[in-house]
Amino acid sequence: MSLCINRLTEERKQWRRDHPFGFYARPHRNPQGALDLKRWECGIPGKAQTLWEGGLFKLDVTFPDEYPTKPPKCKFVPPLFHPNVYPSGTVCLSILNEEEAWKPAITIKQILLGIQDLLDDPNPESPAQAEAYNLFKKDRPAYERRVKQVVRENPAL
Amino acid sequence: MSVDIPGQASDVLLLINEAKTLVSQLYDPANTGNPAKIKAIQEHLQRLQKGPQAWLIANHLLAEDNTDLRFFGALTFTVKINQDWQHLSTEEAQELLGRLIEHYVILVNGGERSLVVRKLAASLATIFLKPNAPWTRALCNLAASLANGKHVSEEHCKDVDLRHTVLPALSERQVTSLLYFSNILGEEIHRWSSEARRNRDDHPIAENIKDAFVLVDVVLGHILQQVASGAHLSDGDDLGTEVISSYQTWMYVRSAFQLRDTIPVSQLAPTTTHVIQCMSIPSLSKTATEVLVELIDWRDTIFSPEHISAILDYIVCDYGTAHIASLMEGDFEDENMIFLELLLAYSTLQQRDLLTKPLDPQHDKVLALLHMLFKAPGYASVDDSASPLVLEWWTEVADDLQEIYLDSEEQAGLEPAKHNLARAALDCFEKLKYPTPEELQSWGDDDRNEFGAFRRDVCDFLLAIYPMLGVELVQVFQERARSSLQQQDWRTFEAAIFCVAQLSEAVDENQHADECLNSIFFCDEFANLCEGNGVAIPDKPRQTLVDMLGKYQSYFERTQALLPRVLTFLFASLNVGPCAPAASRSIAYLCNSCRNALTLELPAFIDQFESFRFKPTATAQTMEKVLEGIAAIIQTVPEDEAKAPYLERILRIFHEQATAAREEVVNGLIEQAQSHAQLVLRCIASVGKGLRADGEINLDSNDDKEADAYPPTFWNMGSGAVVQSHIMESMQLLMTGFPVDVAIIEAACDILKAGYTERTGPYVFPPMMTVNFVKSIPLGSAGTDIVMGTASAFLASHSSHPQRIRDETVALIIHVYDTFCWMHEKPECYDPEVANSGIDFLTRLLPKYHSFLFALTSAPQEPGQTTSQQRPSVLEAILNFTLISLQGPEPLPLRSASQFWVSVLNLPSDDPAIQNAIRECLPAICRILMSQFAGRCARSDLEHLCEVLRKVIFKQQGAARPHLAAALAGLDEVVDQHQRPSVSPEERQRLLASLLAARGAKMQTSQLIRTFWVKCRGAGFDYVG
Repeated sequence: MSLCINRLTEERKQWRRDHPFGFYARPHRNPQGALDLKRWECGIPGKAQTLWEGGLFKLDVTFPDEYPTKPPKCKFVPPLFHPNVYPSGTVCLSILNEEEAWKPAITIKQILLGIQDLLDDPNPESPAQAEAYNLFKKDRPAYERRVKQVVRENPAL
Repeated sequence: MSVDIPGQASDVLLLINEAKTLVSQLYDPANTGNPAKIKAIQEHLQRLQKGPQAWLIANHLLAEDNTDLRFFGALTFTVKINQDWQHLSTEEAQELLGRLIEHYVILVNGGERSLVVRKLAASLATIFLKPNAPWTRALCNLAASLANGKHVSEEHCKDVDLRHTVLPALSERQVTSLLYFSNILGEEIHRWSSEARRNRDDHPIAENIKDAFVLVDVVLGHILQQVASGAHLSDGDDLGTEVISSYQTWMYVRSAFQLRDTIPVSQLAPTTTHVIQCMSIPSLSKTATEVLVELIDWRDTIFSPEHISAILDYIVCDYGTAHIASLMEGDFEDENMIFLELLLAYSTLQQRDLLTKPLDPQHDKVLALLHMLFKAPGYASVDDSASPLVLEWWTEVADDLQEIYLDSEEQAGLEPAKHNLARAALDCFEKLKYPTPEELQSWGDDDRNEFGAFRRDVCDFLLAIYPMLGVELVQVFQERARSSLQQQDWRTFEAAIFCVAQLSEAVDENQHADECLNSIFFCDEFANLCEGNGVAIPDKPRQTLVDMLGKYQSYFERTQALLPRVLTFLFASLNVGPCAPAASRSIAYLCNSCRNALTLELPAFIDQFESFRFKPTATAQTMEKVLEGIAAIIQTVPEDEAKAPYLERILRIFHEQATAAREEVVNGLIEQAQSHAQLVLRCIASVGKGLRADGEINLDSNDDKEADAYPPTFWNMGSGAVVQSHIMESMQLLMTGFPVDVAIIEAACDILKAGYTERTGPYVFPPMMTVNFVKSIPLGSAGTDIVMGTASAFLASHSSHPQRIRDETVALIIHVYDTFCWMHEKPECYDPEVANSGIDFLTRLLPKYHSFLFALTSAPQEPGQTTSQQRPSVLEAILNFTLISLQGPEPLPLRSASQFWVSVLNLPSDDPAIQNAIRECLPAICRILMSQFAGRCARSDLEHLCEVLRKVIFKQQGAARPHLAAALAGLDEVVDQHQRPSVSPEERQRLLASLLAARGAKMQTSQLIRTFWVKCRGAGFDYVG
């Protein structure tokens, strides 16, 4: 088995053994029923006591062949209204950037928790979509209303 | 060490007394409620522990009568060893070790509490791991000292026989204390090894591993002998649990250091056998089982076939299966759960054989247990902790079998496996049933989440076995769905429908399960259910059914005869709170994709909508979906004359609502009016979306490029004009003199965009309407980016004949120019969103409309405007503004300005107007880029600015070279004092040469620039890998 697959098998084992409450993460299963370890379907719940509470946001995580040397790509499906999420849904986060803070030791659990933190604590230094970024900077009440709407459209239960 | 220095005695005594007082205060119950005081005491004690007299204090405290004081003495040794080890000479280190062992022996023999002994053991382990520690066979040495009653130097116990001489001489108390040390030493070595790449040669670990396993073996042998002779071990048996965890700890050490060769598996076999035997001793069973489960999961080679067989014997013996019996009675206590884990771990080792081969009676029993475990009482995850683990096991097995199944040519050999998987699917079916509303009331959110997660896991399992079981699997659930529907057994129906829904991924696109699905949906009971004929389906199964219908869209597209009844059911479900969103989505989808089959249903659906809109579930979200669906059907009506009445009937409603919203504003109900307006505009927009013709539309035509962009049609001049005027008037009512917010703006943009892809229709408005709309949005409104995006979409829709909308395009460019000038003249009004969306609009128009922009070389003449006389030309102002944005602090305008210049540099090189403009701006571009690269811009800006540089070098190399050189040379002047680049002139020249040599290649250019940026910023900005 390649390093990538080995590591992903181990990650899967670790996740089953211990994962944060309300999250899910599992390899994608194609219509023929076969597992694709290099593509995971994950769910990130909004943190309690934040605007995002009550929402569950679907995330596709795609691992390159060079993983864990290179980071996975994380993409919200459908794309999420958030200053640090590109219009395509791809998450802009330093730990997911090979040239920034990615380290091979970072686990899937840490990535998902990092993205959960990012939801309520956007980084205005690196905007990824104009819509959420502008509203966040300019009209916070409207931004918050919009987030609440997003949460209603992606309920956890 | 300064244990016996005379003269300082009185000072030391003072400190010792101080420490004693502080420790007694620390543990004084009176202080427990006072965290500030506790903190102060602890800080004071820490200073003493690190102070010069700490050795003496520790030594004294260990000899005190009070346990707290002795504990603190041991702790102080650990702190001080960590702090000052490197200052000790070899002799001092040896003396320290001897003294600690001495203390250890005395305390153990004096019946010291385990808390203190363990703490002192930790101090000893700390010494062992220090560089140049004077200790090699630590375990053996401590054992010999315990046996001897005082410290024995390593010299003197070189040749002792641990197994046969030393250990037999120890009391049980001494052995237990030795195990404390062994465990702590093993854990510390393991932790030490994982902290960094350690070289095992640093410390004599191998010898200690051997001694540790001798200790474990002797003690376990002793315990088992006692048990065999009928002795009873108490529940809190320290020796037994300690020795088993010692076995585990040293197994870790053995594998962490790749020291498997130190002790071969064969040598460990008797010890491992002992551990397996311990599972049958009630007081040790749980600990021993936990350790074995972990080792089985390792898949190391520790177990011999005899071991494996012993584990199996244990699993199927009466004592083992009693745990399963307890689980089946709803007792999910730890000892039963750990037995379950053992069963699953063992079964994983044998999984292929278990499911594909003929089984002996023992394995037959194992397999029976695996099936039975789904039958424990209670809801999975909520009450029953066993089912989720068992399900996970079955899913792993299914994944594994699938691999052989796909490769295997001999499918027949897999029949038993298929049979077992099918049985497991049925076993867990019962576990899927949703709680009754009464039960659900007592559940918290966590319970619901956990149960939901279990159901998702079942879905994953079903998809994993589908490839092997095929349609038979769907058939099983179809039969359950039908019979439960007949009996109105709604919980079974819900579970069955849930399973069929989950399998949609596997069967919806192909037609494998169509017959099964037909058998459900063409039955009379389903027809009655849809029509509400004497069948009252509760909310939960209704919700699951609505979700399921949404997952079989392709099936319903193929089976259009079912559409009327299914859509009737969906419309009825709109009134049920939790079903409404999914029902409205399915309505939109099915009406859209099967629009041609539904034309006749149109009047009925509009009636349904008319009654729905008064229901509490009629939100903007559900209404717009329903309307989109209905409008898609209207689109199929062939004649415009026949379409118009339907549209008028719907749009009149919203025109009235728009008037009502305006009333609300007059009455001061601003928020209510705003949400009303949003609903109206979103609904009008979705009608427009639904009306769009099905399939690809080719807007490009070869007709006259100069022709009228807005020819007269049925919808703007004929009798359809009343429909269009409803739309335009509604927009007018809600946009002009109305408290617009971003959601209103967005919905209005969607209305405009609905017509851009159409050739004709009520949503195709006069081109000037978009221009007027854009100009009507006040400068600085939130949502400007959406508005300008709409303007871009407008231009894109005419891109095959730009000339037809020349006036509109120029008006839009001048609008952007006005906003730029305004922000330039009044910096306090600068709005990055306006800047960004304006530049972005200009960038998008470049490919098709650039000639309009580059022809605007004068300021617009508008009567009555005095300022415009002093303003620069449109082109000049726009280009200047983008250059300013390229060096500004706002990230989005910087990015769009970068993109703008990349696009400008890509424009045709034979257009003199463009080339002139580029030539004039080139010095400024080069200067801005280089000063940004010299550490001025943010790291995340680099990639965007690099794109501009690449284009400059690739397209304008000759012209740019002197400007780049000048910009690099002039860096010291433009970069402020604090960020003066620390790069020499030679390095700058080298950078320029390398950049030019790279000829705009992406990787090289960006690497060069990043290195340069980091160099200018200072190394602190580099990411540390």
